[in-house]
Amino acid sequence: MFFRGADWIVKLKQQRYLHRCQNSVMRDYLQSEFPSLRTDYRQVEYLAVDLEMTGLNASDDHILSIGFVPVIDQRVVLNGARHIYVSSDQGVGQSAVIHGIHDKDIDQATPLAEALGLLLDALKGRVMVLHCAQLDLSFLEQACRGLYNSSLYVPVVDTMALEDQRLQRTGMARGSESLRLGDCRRRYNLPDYSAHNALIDAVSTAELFLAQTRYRFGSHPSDLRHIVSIK
Amino acid sequence: MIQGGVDMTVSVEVAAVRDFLSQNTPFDQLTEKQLTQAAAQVQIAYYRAGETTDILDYSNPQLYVVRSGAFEVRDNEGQLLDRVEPGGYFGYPSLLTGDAITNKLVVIEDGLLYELDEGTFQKLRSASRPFDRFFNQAHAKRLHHAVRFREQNYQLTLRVRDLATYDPVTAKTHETVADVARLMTEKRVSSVMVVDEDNKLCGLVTDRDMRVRVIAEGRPTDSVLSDVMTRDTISVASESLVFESMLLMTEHNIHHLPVTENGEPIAMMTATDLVKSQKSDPVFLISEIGRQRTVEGLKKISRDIPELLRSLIRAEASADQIGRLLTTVTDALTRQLLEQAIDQLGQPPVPFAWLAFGSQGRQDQTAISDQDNGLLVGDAMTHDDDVYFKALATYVNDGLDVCGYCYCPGEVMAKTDTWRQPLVGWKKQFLRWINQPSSKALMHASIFFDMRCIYGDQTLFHDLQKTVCDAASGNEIFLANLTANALKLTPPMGFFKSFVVDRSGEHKNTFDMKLRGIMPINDIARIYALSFGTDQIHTLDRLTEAAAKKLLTLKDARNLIDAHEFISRLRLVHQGELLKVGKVPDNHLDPLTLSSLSRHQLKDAFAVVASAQAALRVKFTRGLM
Repeated sequence: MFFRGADWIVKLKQQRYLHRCQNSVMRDYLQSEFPSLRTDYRQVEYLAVDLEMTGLNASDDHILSIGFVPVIDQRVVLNGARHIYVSSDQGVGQSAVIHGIHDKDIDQATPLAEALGLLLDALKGRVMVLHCAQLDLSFLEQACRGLYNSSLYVPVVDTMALEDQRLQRTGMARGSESLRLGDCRRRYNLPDYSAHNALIDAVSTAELFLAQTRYRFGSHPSDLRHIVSIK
Repeated sequence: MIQGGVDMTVSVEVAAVRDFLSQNTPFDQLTEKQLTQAAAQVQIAYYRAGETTDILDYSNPQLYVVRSGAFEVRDNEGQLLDRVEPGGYFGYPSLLTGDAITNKLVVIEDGLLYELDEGTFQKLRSASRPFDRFFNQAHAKRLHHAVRFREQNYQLTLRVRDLATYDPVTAKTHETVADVARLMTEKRVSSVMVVDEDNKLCGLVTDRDMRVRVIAEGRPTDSVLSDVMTRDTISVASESLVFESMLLMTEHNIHHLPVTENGEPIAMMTATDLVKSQKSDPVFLISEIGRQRTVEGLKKISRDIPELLRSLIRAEASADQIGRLLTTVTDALTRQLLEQAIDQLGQPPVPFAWLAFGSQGRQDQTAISDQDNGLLVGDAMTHDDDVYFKALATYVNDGLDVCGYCYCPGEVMAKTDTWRQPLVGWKKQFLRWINQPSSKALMHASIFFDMRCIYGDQTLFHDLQKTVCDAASGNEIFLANLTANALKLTPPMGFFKSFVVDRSGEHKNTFDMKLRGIMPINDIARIYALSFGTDQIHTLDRLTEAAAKKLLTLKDARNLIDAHEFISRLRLVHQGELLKVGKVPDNHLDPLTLSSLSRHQLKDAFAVVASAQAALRVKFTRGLM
């Protein structure tokens, strides 16, 4: 978690990353204004993101697709949604069974550099919302380092961490309840989606985020810093 | 699929949202392309059970589609208008009419709402006829539902402020026709109130004025309003009666009536507002009954009857009005069931009349209504014809039971062979009661003398009625027997703490309002009516006629009418309370629940009934009993 007065730290880090970075795409992103951590969380724009990967290891596996959707004014805004298939030299392999992505989809896909550029563009001024942030961030970090020779600096809300906090607050033993996306959603009476892809899961994460904040804050204001995770 | 992934102008489809929409009418009527475009514009919001505020955005009407959870739409007085579940919609009335949102939303169960903006909604309406038609029809239905349950509309006492459209559109005298025409289009109104510098109403400009005084006369569109407006506008005060404004509109043949307060316009009353208020009548409920082709459909409508009763009670309608209204609904249901039966069975082989007895006959039904009915068939009926009539009666009796009018415990129903007779059979039955009376035989017969023809051949009914009247009037032995029976039910004396005190000194802690309060008055009225052979059936009408014939003093008749009204009203309020908490309505009054005033009034009412009974005894038994 960020601490009191963290806004200037954000600014400082932002400047430091900018100073070190040569790549224009990343520089463009870093020059955008980051949301203040002392703003009411409802006035901040978010981008819920989900990645599909060939595996779980960022150094061996790679990103197959990126789905994202903005959350503005406590609403999931579908006309800002994007679903980008990432092209790769390697085939999809075994994971096609899981993701339903086939080599023919990948054929019409976007190079990783371009896909990441689209994501960074959509992230400007926004807070990224992920479910189980660590995994997706490790792939994005890997990609940014490879392409831009820069780390990804972004404020993140992890819906899995929010759920973990909520369960602890309600006195549940850690690990007693599943933190998987679908299971979290069910606790808020959110519907099950039969199909899965990066975009549907991004929308699912966005909806979960809305439900979690409604439950936690109702119609009361709360600073963004109370829900943002460290990065 | 994004071609090359770079086309940022085309939104991608979120399959889960699109698929959900496509499962629901009218979205299933859209083309693939329209559906995809609609789905891409959806915004998703989440609400928690119990939330009421900040959901409907008053400045931004949208179509809301319930994705999960459950929501209730209530009007600004908290009346339930609609309960919406997944796949259901709300918010469209404002989009269709351009009227401001006045309803509130209550979240019953956590859930997701899909919001579709006005632009997309209107685009879909113009692109797809089924889509447009669906929401127009849904709107008409909702409107109908809403006004049906708006209790104040039943009254003639409805005031202009209850109906008029607030937030009126005004313009100054020096504004140009073109500007105002644009304003009217933007605000979607057909008239603008023109005000002077002090904001006082000085004229009115309507669509018609634009046509007649501007276009037809070839005036330039930069003419100022003061040149084209109607001066000396007729207006009403917000406190005036709707009834008065109706008269004004009719008298002057106008469709717009500004509502003013201290000369300043505060609202506009239109002919449309009035038409809407007219629909609020139970007449509307009845017209809906008339459209049902199945028992199932009638059953659905009859579920609204308790709500109708409750709103009538809240509206302080008199017990007499309520009784007549509820009976009108029962009559309509009965008629519709008969029509349905005839549709299925074919035309009746001989004429018949459907008779209602008891409370339906007297038109004083309440929340508890058993059926009491019979079938009167023309004497030309053959044995084989009865197969038809039995089937007809069974259909109607069963249908009424389904609609909540339970089978009569005393089996007084047309489907029984006893109460389905040719005219000659009915005459014989009535003449037996009248000419060979015994108080035992008459004990359960009194309801038959409150007889009304609901459907069918009136001449058959009148024939029977005349026979009964002729035989009964002046028949002292018959009247004496009826009176003896009637006097068995006496009202209590009054109350002592939580007890009802009988004239015998006996105490009970509950009081049957029907048996000990209303029935004795009905009995009195019936005996007078039969004594002079009137065809009046309603208790109040019978008492009024008895007074007119000088059998009762006017004062006594009025006292009885007041007592009847008072006890009936007490009973209806009691039943309304029970309905409100989901209990089965009954006639039992717990004296503890009575206010001190009601206790006194009730005691007075009992005294009126007791003295009327004493007079009845003198008049009709004359020592015979």
